[in-house]
Formats: sequence, structure tokens, C-alpha cells
Amino acid sequence: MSHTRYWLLLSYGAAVLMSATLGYFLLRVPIQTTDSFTNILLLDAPFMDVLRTGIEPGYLRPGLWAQLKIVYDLSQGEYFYWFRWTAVVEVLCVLLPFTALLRPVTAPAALVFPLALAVLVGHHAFAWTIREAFPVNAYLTNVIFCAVVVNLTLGAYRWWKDVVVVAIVIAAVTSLESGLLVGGIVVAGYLLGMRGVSRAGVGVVLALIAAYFVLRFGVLGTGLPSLIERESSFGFERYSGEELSRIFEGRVHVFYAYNVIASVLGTLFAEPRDGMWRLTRSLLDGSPDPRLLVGVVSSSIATGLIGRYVWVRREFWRRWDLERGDRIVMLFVLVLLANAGISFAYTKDVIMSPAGYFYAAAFFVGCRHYVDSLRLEPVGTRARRLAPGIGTALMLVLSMTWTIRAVGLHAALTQTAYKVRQQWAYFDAFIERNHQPVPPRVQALKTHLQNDAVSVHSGSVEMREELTTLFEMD
Amino acid sequence: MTQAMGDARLPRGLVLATLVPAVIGVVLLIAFVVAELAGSTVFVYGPAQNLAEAAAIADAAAVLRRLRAGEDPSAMVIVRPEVISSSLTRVSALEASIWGREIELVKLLDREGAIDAAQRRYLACLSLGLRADAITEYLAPTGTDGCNADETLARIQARSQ
Repeated sequence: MSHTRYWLLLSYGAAVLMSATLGYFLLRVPIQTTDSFTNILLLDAPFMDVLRTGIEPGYLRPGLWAQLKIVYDLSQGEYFYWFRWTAVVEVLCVLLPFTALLRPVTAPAALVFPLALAVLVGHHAFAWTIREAFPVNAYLTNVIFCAVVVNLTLGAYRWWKDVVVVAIVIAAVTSLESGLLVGGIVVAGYLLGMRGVSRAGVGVVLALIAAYFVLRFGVLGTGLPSLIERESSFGFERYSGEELSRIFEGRVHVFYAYNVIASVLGTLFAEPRDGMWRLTRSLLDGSPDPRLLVGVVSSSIATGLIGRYVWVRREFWRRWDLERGDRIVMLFVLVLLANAGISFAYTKDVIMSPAGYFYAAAFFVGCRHYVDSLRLEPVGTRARRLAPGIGTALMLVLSMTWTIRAVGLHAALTQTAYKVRQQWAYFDAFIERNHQPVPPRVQALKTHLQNDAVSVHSGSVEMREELTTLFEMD
Repeated sequence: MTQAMGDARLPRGLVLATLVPAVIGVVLLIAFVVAELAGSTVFVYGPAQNLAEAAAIADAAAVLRRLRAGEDPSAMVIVRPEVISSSLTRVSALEASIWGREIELVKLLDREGAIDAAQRRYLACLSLGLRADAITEYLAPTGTDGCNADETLARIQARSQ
């Protein structure tokens, strides 16, 4: 077997192993009470009625409901297996295209690749794509759409790619607002010299994006969610929709600008989180949160390596002499800005999950380049002679902190599983508090899912607290 | 430069620094899975051994599962010393739920029909002794007349001797 093939297979093996461990922990999490229960209730309706559920003021998400309806119908009542296994398969569908995108075919690339996997799954933007579901997580599906589309655009042109990309863009933009990024990737990719999709294909995608805006704001008039609808963070505090409306009355653009900046900074440096400066607040309180500190240190070093790559390659960029790695990093920058722009009305880590995906890819490019530079003989200036030592220390800190974050996601899933089971145990009390008669169909579904959570697929217990001090469990 | 890089080997320290933490992470995850499948409690709090232990640690899901599986919430059972206290190892699930101090769990037991009128008075008295005020208020909203909380507590503790 050639070395190239050997390193590539080893990397795919690492991706499958990561999917398997995440899958094991994902299958411990029951279907949730919040969002999932009510959504499943709505899925019993005919297909077109279900699609109409996704069209309401502020939202245009029929594609999301189509995904749910398809899995629901396939499940034939076996909700736990179908919805939870969908999450497992989706994780694999994120990690395999990630491997294909990065193509680790050399020893340095294969060395850095497991670390890039840890960056991908350990990044806080990824965590909530698998820690919650509705009962399929549309954000995770959106990441898959991005992952597949970027692979298609980067490769050689094939006529069928146009068809597949257009279909994916339709599915993406009708599922989530951030699905627009998928179309943006096709267009940006073309501008960056990626020719997997033809000019005509890109034209159709552009037309689809335009049609989306016409449909949303013109024909259907769904518009945008108002400030009052959702709670959000600003500075050190979290505010209700009413409070936000009051605070930013007449100057809502300040809040929007804050959200965009917070989304960019949060993705690059892990602070703020969900728009809130949590680590900074804990530092000001005199009790720095070690979990958030791990996040900021790991993200800052990783971002530093991406920045170093951009700096080193700047002359090539100016001459537009681009390699595959350059295009990936450029695409990351564009997706980051576009993703943050889309989050203007409401910032939340999980919305930045497409940017998180490309962040991990850009990190791989930057880190591989850095590792490659350390292979040169340490001759010349004192700084050059010290470089290998500094590099080794840097890689050790990077590997340690990102491993903590990636393992921490597994631990967080055990916490999620435990919490969801407790919520199901108390769900009858929740229903009673509503003082509404419960229709037999609702009661039957409740009994089914509750029984699944507490009896049939039971068994998860809490991790020992002393083992989770560095993990973000909440 | 490319040729030089192609010929140069990766420094061993760099390889180890990059791979060792990741390998340790994977080994820990696999160890977690193996430990769980083997029933070990190295990484997790030991699961409740019976309904009383589940009630004491306020594991509502385990309480509901065991109740619906037919376990008797009034039966006196042995609980491990680390669950409530080393001096309290023989209790019923209803008593243990008061030590758990989780009012929602007490309500859950009530909703599932585990608490009759006599037990309600007894448990209200016990919660009074343990100063679990919210639970006392829930179980005996009109008061706990005739309750000797110290005697109730002493009787339960004596049972574990």
C-alpha cells in the first residue's frame, strides 16, 4: 500500500472511531421532552400539512419539517431508534466529508488530522448540534449540507454535481435561515476558483437565493423574528425579549452589530459564548472558570495558527496563486463573516456551527503548515533554533486542551442523557400544570416516549463530579 | 524548501506532544464504555440498587422505572451507607425521598399513588424533623398536629442499628 493511501485510510479510521464514540454516547440520550415531543405530535398530519407547519411569521422552514416527517414515517412508531440513530449517522456524515475535504495523505497531515477532528467536535458551536434535537437537529443537517457541498465544489466538474448542489441548496435554505450559507459556499467557492460546479449551476444557485428572499419577504411575508420573541445575551447578562426591546428601542442596530461581532469573536476565541462574556465575568468575579479558560486557550492558539498561515501565504494570496489549503482558509473567512451576518438578530453558538466546521478545516490547514515548518533543520538565528522546542510545547497545549474539549462533549452527552430522563420522569407534573384535558393520542405518545426514556432505554447515570471539572457540562 | 521538508522527519517530541493527549483521550473514552458495559462505577455514580436509593439521590427516572416495575415504596430495604448516611441504612423509599429533599420527587411518588393518608402524616412529621419545610407544607398544608419529629427520626435511626 502506498504511503499516501496508508495515511488517508488511517485518517478515515480516526473519523470513524470518533463517530463511533460519539454515537455510543448519543444513543444514551432519549428523545427530548422540549421541542421533540410537541414536534412529533405535529408529524402525524399529512405531508403537505406538515410542510405548512414550517411557514409562520418570522420563519420559513418547510424543509426542516420535511426532514422530520420522513424520519417519522420511516420509524413506524419506533421513534427512539430512528431519531437517535439519525443523529448517529449524521455525525458520521459530518466527519467523513471532513476527512475527504482535508485529504490527509502525508505524515504531517495525518499527525494533525486527529487534532482537527478534536477541534471540529470539541468546538462549542458543534456541541449543541448533537446535545439537543427537535428530534432531528436541523443545525447538524445544515453542517452536513455545507460539508458535502464544499467537497463537490472543490473537486473536478461533473454534470451531476450541478443537480446535487441545487437540490442541497433548496433543502438547506428551506430548512434554516443559516441554510443560505450553503448557497453562499457554492458562489464563494466559484469565485475562489473552485470549479466542481459549473457556471450555470452557480447561476441557478444565485437565482434560488434571490427566489428565497422574494418568497420570504414578498410572497409569504414571513419576515424576520422580532426582538421580543427570544431571550438573548448582551455583555455580561441575559435578557428577555421584552427587556431587549426596551433597552434597544430606537437603536436596534447596536444590538444587531453586537451580535455579529460577538458571533465572530466567539467562534475564533471561544469568548463570548452565546453572546455573553462568561469567562471575563468569572475573571472579574475573581473565580476564573477553568472550563471556559480551556476553551479560550485552545481556541486562541488554534486561531493564531490560522492567522499565521494567512500571514505566511499573504504574497501568494495577493498574486492569486492559490492552493487547496488557501481556498479552504479563504472560504472559512467568508463563511465566518456570512454566518455572523446571518446571526445579526440573535446570536447563539449553535447557529455558528457551519463557521465552526470551516474553522476546524482552516485550523487543519494552518496547523499542518506550521508542523511542516518545524521539520526544517533548526539552523540559523536563535529564534530558528528554539522553534522546534516552542512548537512542541505549543502542540502539546493544543492537543491537551482540544482533547479535553472533545472528550468533554462525550461527558456532556452523559449529562444530557441524565437530565432528559429526569425531565421525562417529571413530565406528568408539567402536563398537569397546564390544566388542559390531554387527548388520547397525546397521552399515548407521552406514555410511549416516557416509557422509552425511563424504562426501555434507561440506565444512564451521572458522571462523577470530580472527573468533570474541566468539561463544559451545562 | 519543499524538497527539504520532504526529506526531513517529524521531530519525535512533536509527534508525541501531538498524539499522546489525543490517544489518552480515546483510551479514556473506550475505558468509559468498557467500564459501563462491565457495570463498573469508576467514572459514574453507582446506579441506585433499589427504589429507596433512587429516592434518596432524587433520581426521578429510576424511581419511576422501579415504581412501575412493581417495587414497593413502603418496603424497608437496605441502602448503602454512602447514599444517605452511615447511620441510616434501613429505610423505605418514601422515607428516603424525604432525605432526598426534592419536593418534585415527593409529588411524583404522590402522583403515582405511593402515599396514602397515614403515610402522608408520617412523612410530614419526618420532613418536619429534617426541616424540609417545602415538603412538610406540601404533605401537611394544614399543619402537623400530634407530630413528634424527634421520636420519628430516632425510630428510623434505631432501625439501622
